[in-house]
Amino acid sequence: MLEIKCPYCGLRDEEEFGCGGEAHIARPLADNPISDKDFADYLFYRDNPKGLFLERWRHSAGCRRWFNVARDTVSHQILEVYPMGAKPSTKAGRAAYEASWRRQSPAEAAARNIPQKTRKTSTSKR
Amino acid sequence: MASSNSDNTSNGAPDAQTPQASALPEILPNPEGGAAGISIAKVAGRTLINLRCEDNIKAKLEALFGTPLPAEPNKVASMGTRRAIWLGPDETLLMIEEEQEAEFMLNLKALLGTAHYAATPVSDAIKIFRLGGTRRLDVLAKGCALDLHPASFKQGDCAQSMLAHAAITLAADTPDSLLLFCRTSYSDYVTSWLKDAAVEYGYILLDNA
Ligand SMILES: [Zn+2]
Repeated sequence: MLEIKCPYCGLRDEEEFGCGGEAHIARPLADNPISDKDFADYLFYRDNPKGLFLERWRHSAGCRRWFNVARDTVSHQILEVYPMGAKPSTKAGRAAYEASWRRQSPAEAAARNIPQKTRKTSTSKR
Repeated sequence: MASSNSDNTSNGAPDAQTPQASALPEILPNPEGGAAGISIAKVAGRTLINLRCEDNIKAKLEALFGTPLPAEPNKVASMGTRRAIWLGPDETLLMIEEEQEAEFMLNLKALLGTAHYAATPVSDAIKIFRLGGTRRLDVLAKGCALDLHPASFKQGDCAQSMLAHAAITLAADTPDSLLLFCRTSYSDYVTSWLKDAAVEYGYILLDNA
């Protein structure tokens, strides 16, 4: 059983949480130039690394809020917990973020490249 | 409607209760003598309102509610019989006297106008119990992983968690009692479970706290 530190409620049993899988997957905008293959990579491909993994978790039985967790899939050690929309702050977490194939993916570029006419600039988090 | 715990059948059809639920009486004396280890009392006559809003709106409610709504996670603000229970960074559960509900909702509407908020009466969805007795924490410890010792779960603290797989909210309300909130659909199960867990300490079910 893991003890997970909810950013609001503090340390609680894993039983209270739900895991939402890989974090930092940016959705391409509706109006995008990417190929079906690149879109399928975004939609269906999930990493399953041996080692540090950046995941989304939700405190389902507590405050019901989402947050990010950097967890080692071998030792289950939780390196850090950080809010939605933020990036990891530890060196290893940051390295895992930068090393992900998604950073170079056309899908992520298509999520970042926001045309003024459809989206306000304030929604461009990444 | 579920039948009472002492009647395991309704119209001859089996009830969805466990045999244990019907086997346990409303009151079980403390086998070691003295007062029952836990008292489980339904809290009636209260309205619950789930309020979703940002901090700047929350601040406006102080005048109407009588006390500032909790800003810190997992805290309860009290004012007489009123309680404001932190449920999330933009979510508060307000507990007020039933007869004040209509007026309160009107005043809330007048105060907040077109501000972005949601106030939803949830009294029918959630049941409130007051747990008293010297062994109440020992009973809860059998099904809830929270550390409820007064040193870490102090008066004015609240927490959402699970009790034997049922979602609950607990509040350390007074030095000798806790408030327990659970889904109405789970309330029979929760009381049955509490009774079963309290057999060794004795328990008493009360109709109103
Ligand atoms: Zn939480």
